[in-house]
Amino acid sequence: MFHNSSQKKFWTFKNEGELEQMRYMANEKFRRKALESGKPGVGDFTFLDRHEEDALFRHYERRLLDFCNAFKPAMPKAVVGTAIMYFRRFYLNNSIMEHHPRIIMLTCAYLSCKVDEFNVSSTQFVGNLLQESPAGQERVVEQILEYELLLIQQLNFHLVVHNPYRPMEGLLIDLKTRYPTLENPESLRKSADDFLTQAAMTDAGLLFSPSQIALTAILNSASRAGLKMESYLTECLGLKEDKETLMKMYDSMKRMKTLLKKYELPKQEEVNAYKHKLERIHAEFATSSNKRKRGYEEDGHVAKEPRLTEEDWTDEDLL
Amino acid sequence: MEQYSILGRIGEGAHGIVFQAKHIETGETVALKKVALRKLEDGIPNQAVREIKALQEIEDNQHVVKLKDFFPHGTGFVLVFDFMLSDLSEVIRNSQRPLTPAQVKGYMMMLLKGVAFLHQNSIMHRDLKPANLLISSSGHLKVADFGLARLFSDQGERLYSHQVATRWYRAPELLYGARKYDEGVDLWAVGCIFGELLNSSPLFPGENDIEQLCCVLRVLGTPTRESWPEMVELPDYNKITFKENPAIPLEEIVPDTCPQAVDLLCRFLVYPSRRRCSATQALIHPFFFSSPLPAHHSELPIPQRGGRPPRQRLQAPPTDFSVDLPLQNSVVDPALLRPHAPCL
Repeated sequence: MFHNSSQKKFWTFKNEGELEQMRYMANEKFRRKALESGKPGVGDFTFLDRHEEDALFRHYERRLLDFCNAFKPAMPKAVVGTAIMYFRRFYLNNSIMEHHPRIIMLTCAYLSCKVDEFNVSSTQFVGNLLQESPAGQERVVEQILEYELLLIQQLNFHLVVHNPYRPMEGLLIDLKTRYPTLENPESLRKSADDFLTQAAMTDAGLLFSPSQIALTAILNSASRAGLKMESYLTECLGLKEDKETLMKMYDSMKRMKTLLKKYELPKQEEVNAYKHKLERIHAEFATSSNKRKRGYEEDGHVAKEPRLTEEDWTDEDLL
Repeated sequence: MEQYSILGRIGEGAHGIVFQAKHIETGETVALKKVALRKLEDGIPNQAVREIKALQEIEDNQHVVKLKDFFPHGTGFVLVFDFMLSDLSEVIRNSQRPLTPAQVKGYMMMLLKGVAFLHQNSIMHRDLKPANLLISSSGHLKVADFGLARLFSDQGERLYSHQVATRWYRAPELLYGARKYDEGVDLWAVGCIFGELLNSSPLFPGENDIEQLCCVLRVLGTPTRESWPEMVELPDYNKITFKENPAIPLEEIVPDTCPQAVDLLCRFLVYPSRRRCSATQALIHPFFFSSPLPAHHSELPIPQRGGRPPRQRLQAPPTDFSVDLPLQNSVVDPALLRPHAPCL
């Protein structure tokens, strides 16, 4: 149930400002750490600004979505939604300068498969990196497993994500049974689905409940088809007498639509320029801080082959 | 890990070793469950993911074990739980005499409260058995080991594995290979545990999967289209046939048991999962409201870990005290007092 979930308690935020503040702090934290490392030639110019970070974040998030959509066997929607949510949650408190989004995005997808019981082995998982040689795929597995624990920790061990897909099914059933005014509720599905896909790539899931997102998707789809559905809210959802809730709901819907409208993929030249910067930062400050790996070495149980540097495989090879 | 000092080894579960340890800062005794990454190539094992997933989503409940902390360590990571002295299998095994009806009621009530809480939170445990019902030093029972737990609200049409639950407590639909099932599998297990508490021995101790089914069929009778309409849709329905035999009345299976207990047991041990009594319903069954009333947790035996003989706790209250007895029996006869009245 969403109402007593960790998502509602710990991962639903007041407004966009609060989210931006957290991301800003993560960026600051990395800068401070890097400056304190006392490496020569560290000036502010080497770092990524928030808007640059943001552009790269969106670039990699899109890559994550493409990877999931092309995945074989076909990945259920909820698994994809959970993976993207993990990715967003992770980078609320971490800068992409600290942990490279290329590997975090795959780790998110891998963990999401496990949590949602979409059982694929690690070999099968990286088999989806079609451009990678078998040896390259093996290296990726190694990295994913190294980052898995860090990811779980950064998610604060809150693994259950409530996606808007089921609420949408519920709303469609409700429309079919209790709202005869609407002739063919199924006709709303296509465009509502698209809305949910787009919403996943915004902060909607960090600000609103899954059922709110689903309802907005349906109403948005209806209004695009020129259908009026206000009476569904007032009559079927019983909001006629509760003007306050109704107003709040309209407000949330408006905010959600603005989020979706604002969304755009970064331009390729931007991405290239920032990536260049990001690679330099990682080459310079690459943290070998890795909880799981450190754990292994500590006990001396597992003798691992020396880790290959991340430059050995570029993200261009990924897809 | 530096925060804890290991006091000893409690046991070895399917998913790792459990240690008793002391949290240095607070002095609190805890259980550390070390989950080893045995299959290195796949990373964190599914059991651990399920356990964290389920326990992180629920609020504290008196009858569900609490996950206090978790951290990576060595080749795997460590889950920190409240330390529990014992478990129900040890209680059953070590009690020198059968549990009293009041004690059985006490355990059943705590078990059902825990299960009702989980089901309300859309969690099916899938591996309920006496060994997974831990007993605290205060006599409280808590449901533990969520290594097979699944959230059932968000699964849609997804299929589950039927290779779940320890055999003796496995519901008949699972024995027939069902891939779609529901929290009824837990209620079947509750019934089996209930029977085991009453008899001090397992109800259906099958040695293998086929024999398990035989055990169940021998008692409940061969299922028919009337008693189990959904059976024909189960994957292994056609793979095996049994000689027809009638059901044995449960009174004969759990002899010397009050009719209410038999009635409640019947409600758990039915073939169609949907017809099994829910944990919430069971809690308002007359069984729990008739004499003797459920024992208070302080009246329950607490065996030590490692099978030492149970420490005898407070005896059950003398039986001559009962709400049904006429009041005259327990008050002093006024005639006896009269001669002494002038002294007062």
